[in-house]
Amino acid sequence: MKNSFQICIVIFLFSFCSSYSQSSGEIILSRNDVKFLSIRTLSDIYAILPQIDLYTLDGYRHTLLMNNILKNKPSDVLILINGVKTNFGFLDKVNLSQFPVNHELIDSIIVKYYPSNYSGEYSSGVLIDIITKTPPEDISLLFNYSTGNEVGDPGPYRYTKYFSDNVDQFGPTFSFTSSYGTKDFNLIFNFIDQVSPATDPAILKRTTNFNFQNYQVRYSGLSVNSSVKTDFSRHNLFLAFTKTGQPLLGNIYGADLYFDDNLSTEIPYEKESFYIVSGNGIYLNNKDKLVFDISFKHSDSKQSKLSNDFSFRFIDMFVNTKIGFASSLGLIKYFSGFSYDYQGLNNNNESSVYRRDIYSFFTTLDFITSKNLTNKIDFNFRGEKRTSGFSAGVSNIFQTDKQNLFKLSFSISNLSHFDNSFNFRTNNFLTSVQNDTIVNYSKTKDNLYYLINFDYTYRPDINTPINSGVTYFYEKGLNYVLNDFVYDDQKGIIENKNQELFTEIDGSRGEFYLNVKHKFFQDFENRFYYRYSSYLDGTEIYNNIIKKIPKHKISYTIFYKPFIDLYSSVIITYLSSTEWVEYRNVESADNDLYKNKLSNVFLVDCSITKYLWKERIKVTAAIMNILNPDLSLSQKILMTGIRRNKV
Amino acid sequence: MIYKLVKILNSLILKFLSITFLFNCFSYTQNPDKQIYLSINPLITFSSNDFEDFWNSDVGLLSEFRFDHAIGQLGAGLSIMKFNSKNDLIPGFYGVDYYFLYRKHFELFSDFNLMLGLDIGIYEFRFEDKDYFESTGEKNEREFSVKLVSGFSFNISESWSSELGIGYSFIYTKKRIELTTFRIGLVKSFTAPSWLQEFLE
Repeated sequence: MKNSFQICIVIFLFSFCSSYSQSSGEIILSRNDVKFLSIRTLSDIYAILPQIDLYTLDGYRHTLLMNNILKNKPSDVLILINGVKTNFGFLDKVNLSQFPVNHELIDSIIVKYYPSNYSGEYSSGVLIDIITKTPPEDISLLFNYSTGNEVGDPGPYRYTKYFSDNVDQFGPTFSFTSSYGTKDFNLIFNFIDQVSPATDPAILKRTTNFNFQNYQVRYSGLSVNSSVKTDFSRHNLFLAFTKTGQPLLGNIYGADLYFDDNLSTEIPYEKESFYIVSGNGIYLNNKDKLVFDISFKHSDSKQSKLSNDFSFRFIDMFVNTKIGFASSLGLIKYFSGFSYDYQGLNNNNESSVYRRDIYSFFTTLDFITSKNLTNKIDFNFRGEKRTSGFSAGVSNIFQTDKQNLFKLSFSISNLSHFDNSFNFRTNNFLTSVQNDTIVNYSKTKDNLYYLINFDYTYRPDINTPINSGVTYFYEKGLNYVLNDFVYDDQKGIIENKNQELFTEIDGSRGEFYLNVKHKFFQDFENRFYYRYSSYLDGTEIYNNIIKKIPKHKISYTIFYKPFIDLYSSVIITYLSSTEWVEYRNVESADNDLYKNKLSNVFLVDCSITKYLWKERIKVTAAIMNILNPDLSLSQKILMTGIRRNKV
Repeated sequence: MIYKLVKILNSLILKFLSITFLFNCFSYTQNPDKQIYLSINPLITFSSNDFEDFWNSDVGLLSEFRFDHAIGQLGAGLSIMKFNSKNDLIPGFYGVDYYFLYRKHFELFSDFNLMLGLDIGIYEFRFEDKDYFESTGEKNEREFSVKLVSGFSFNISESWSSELGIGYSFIYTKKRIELTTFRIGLVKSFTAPSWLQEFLE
């Protein structure tokens, strides 16, 4: 029996850099791309996805801004594993850092960042499908350890007149993976233990009792991933248990943090979740396939045992089932099916359960109209007691020759992400507190979302694809509750003074993007991405809200492999300034916690990886955010996207 | 004055290294017999600005492990240096520098080489006065550091060489620390055994 040991030691690990294949609205990060990169936690992939607009306060938890920005909730990520929905997250926030899969076991990551129907799931925000790789045959073991430090500690000056506070450490993150594989069966066991120190002064000032949590978030994740192949079927099973607060290893407690957008502060909490995700494909014959997926999640969340400011306990359950049929009719390939989702939320052990039953019908048609023209039509209808909606999309790909490819896409929808926010789950989604009065409002029924994208790819040679395009977004009939935060300098707290309700919001925006990849030679590659995003038309509130998205975004990445066992990368990112309308009445001079305007961000990240012992050991050193005069290498080191809206 | 000269020198070294890295290293071949180098160097350190007002240094010690790689020499090193406090209210400390290193040698003439290099690692401040601290966590501070290195090496025999070098460290504490170190030492080289060669590849 051949045993293979793989030891992966990742030291000074701060960043992750990229390479990908991209077409409009979709990026695929492949396993080979990841070799150039260093990953502490899975959310580090955001560093090389400039197409996605997000912000982060600590580099550990990220919130996305795209597409659902007007719907008063962050449009967080829909995470799938091997094409099956997981319901991963806590209420409306998804922390990809805590997804319980070791990044070394990922074969590829499919990212959809425009509204899409994918594998029977509709996403109006960002959809991430994690495709696991087949482990090597026989037994293998993998250890991974990463840690890092933010620069700017006081050092020996701590005991002098130049005293300053200590700054954050990253990690350590430890993971252990064991797998067993044969030709038709494999089994992977994962264990992840994460420490995410939370010593950021801004977070601590907002969360005064967080010192009881030992200034750190503790997370443990266990998962088992298995797949079976037979002559006529494929089966995947993913079981996971995750825990924050009291870790499985060690006894140092560390509550997790939930940033509440209406309170503009972090709430310490602890959580235990259990997941069962199963995807099954049965091949009836050469062209017909039956798909049956089931996903179950049970989660128990409550306030941190060391906090007493917010008292809550949520027992949350999700059950998703999906059945689909894939086949072809002549030149038309189709995939159609039904899904049923159950959501049950029990708040503070009440006898009643806030229940949602959601059903949907989906279909996707792929067909070839002519020699050079392929088309895709997708449709998704979703209904529940409160509301129903649909999404439809058409895309046409015209390839004139080997060098030129045009794509025109159109989609229309009145669906949003599954809204898992607390207010929505507990039927309080139609209220706002306006001038100390609770205002009820009705949900507009004619809200619509249009997207038109024209995409062109020119490939003068195999090493130089140039991709460019324009996208037009139009939204109408939306409601928005605008918070109005005011900072009380005396008390040192932020207050939401008012919630102003806006209805029937219309607006349009557009973006232009250019994506160039060039290989000078086999081991030296660079990538350039530029995006210009702008308000086009609409109500004033629409214009004010989308100022959270930077107008200009530039990302330039170099991958260089000087020798067979050495990989290096440099990522340069520029984001133009942004404005956060909720903080319009906060004067930045009053405090160092909140800002209305964020200046330009210029980030440079470098990493170098040396493989040892025939690629069994990997050592990566990475430095993030070099040359940032604003941060002076002494404050937070964060990734692409919008850096800390509350400084 | 000396610090300005060192800064200018290191700026030139950095540019030279960058150019070397970018334009001289596109394709490499690996030497089949990998050489291993162990070095030991006494070193002295000079600091600048406010750091000098609080601490002065003793003689320190530095040791490095290096191996031949297609792009030059790679390896790791450790140095330790005692810094005495000039003020009773401020503790002295041991400065422990652990780092990964890169070295590139250029033969100037027979047995005499110019050496340029870059170290990246963690600089740890281990404070001395144990009674001074309330908790063990206060006894150590760590910070990221980068060091530019240049110098000369002379082959004494087939397996022994001597080296003389200067290093300029940037320690990224809130109030930046910059240290200049001079080193002189001996290097022993030998052919790596097969198991070690396999490990390093």
